[in-house]
Amino acid sequence: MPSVCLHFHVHQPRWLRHYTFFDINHDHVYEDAERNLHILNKLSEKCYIPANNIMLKLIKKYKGDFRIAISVTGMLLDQFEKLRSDVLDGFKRIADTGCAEFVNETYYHSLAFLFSAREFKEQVMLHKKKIKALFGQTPKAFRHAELMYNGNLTRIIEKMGYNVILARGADKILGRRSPGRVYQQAGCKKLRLLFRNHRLSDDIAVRFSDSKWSEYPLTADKYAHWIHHTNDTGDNVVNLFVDYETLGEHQKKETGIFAFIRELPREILKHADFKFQTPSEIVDEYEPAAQLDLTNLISQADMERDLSAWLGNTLQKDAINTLYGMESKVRSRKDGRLLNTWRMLQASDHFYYMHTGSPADGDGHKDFNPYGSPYDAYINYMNIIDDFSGFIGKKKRSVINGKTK
Amino acid sequence: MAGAGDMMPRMIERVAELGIGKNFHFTGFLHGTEVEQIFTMSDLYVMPSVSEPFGISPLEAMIYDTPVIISRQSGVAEILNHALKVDFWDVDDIANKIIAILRYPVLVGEIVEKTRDELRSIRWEYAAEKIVEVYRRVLH
Repeated sequence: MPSVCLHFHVHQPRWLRHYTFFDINHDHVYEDAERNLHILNKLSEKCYIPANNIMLKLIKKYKGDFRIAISVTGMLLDQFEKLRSDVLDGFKRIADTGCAEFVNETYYHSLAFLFSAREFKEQVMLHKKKIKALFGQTPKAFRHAELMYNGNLTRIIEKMGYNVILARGADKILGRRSPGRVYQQAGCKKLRLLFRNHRLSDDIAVRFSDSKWSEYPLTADKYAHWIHHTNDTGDNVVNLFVDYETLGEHQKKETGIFAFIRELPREILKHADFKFQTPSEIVDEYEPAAQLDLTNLISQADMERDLSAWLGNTLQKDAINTLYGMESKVRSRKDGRLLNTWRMLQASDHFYYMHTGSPADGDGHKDFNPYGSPYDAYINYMNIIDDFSGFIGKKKRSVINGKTK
Repeated sequence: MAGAGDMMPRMIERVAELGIGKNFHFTGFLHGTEVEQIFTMSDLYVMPSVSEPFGISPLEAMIYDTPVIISRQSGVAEILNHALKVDFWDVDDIANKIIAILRYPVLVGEIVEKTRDELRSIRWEYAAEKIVEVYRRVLH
């Protein structure tokens, strides 16, 4: 009986202010609060509120047969708490149904795993606590930002007590193996891997409104038919991992995306063999189809290559190395606000905007840069880092002066 | 400040008025190898034109691996992706970018590297082919 795993990732990058050389050492406010509020409100109206309402209705309508997995980044949960409690309530109501599994990730959508083991673990634990506090669940499923993973990450995540990692199924890992199976990493006991079905996920996330696409317009019954087809190949899972913002933002309301989602469960459940399950339910039910030896296959360097849109050029590397180079200095200040600022600056989005090549495959909708150019993004970010670095040093001196007085 | 033009006397006066003459060189009009020399010596070339139908000098600077800042109001801004662009009236932004080029060597490295690739795709032949293609489409 094949399972459909519908996973929504919910995240919004926060915009930094236009920060010039003349602001350094004068102005320590880095975020564009007004613009971020505007974007949050816009997205809440266009996507989060209607999407939450639909999910809630569908869950109730299908009485447990429609199940989803959701991950909301910690930094976005913070914003909902402060500014849009109505959206947060929607997610809480979804959690209360027991039909949604909340997935753990790094709190600040960061790539800390590659730079600081301590920081990575702290952010995962922070997010875990947040999920527990807001949604009453202790997460058992994990996803890394941008769905990246490697052998190392898998081992660490298993040690931290998780059952499953949601990942990006690169060809070199899977080879001719299908993403429609549950996998295990050699050497791991409990932990399983679920790989995104890129074709079917991107049919919704990327191609849905593309009128030049041969399958346009995509209807729920046609799409469900494709999903049912996976049954012929012996697959037992269909992993549809999409951004929540696909609903109403990347694919606007006018494209019919909401109607599509509303009809999707009915069409998929028409085939008696198919059901919706959350990641943890899936790995409980199916034995792994194969063991993947990721240790040799996916090195740290491979992971960086896969992250080339985030860490591929010298600007991105310089910016992120400068940021993580400040870790001990930031921590030694023992100031929660400074730590929070440093963490906000870790969001992978900042580095994506410095990408100078062509956009990564399948990330078409992300080909958008609030700075206009990767160089402007780098200059803005480095000016901020420069100020932050000076600010940490200076404040310390002024505290010491204060004590001596 | 390289080159010559109607504005030159006023600019020299303005520099003198601000008392920053010791930081300024007015080269006047440059010929042949002088152009090559000045680009090779420069850390950065700024073309803050108020209006410039095309503006070929940034391309010349790029040949010598000199990063460029150009005004968005120039024609050449439309074809260059790996140049820093500014609005000619936004003097703070121009200053910010000049300083960034001088302070962040990684930025210069990335721009120069990407610029070399970009220059290869800018050829009179390609522009001519495009125009021929437009004529073809209109005629058929």
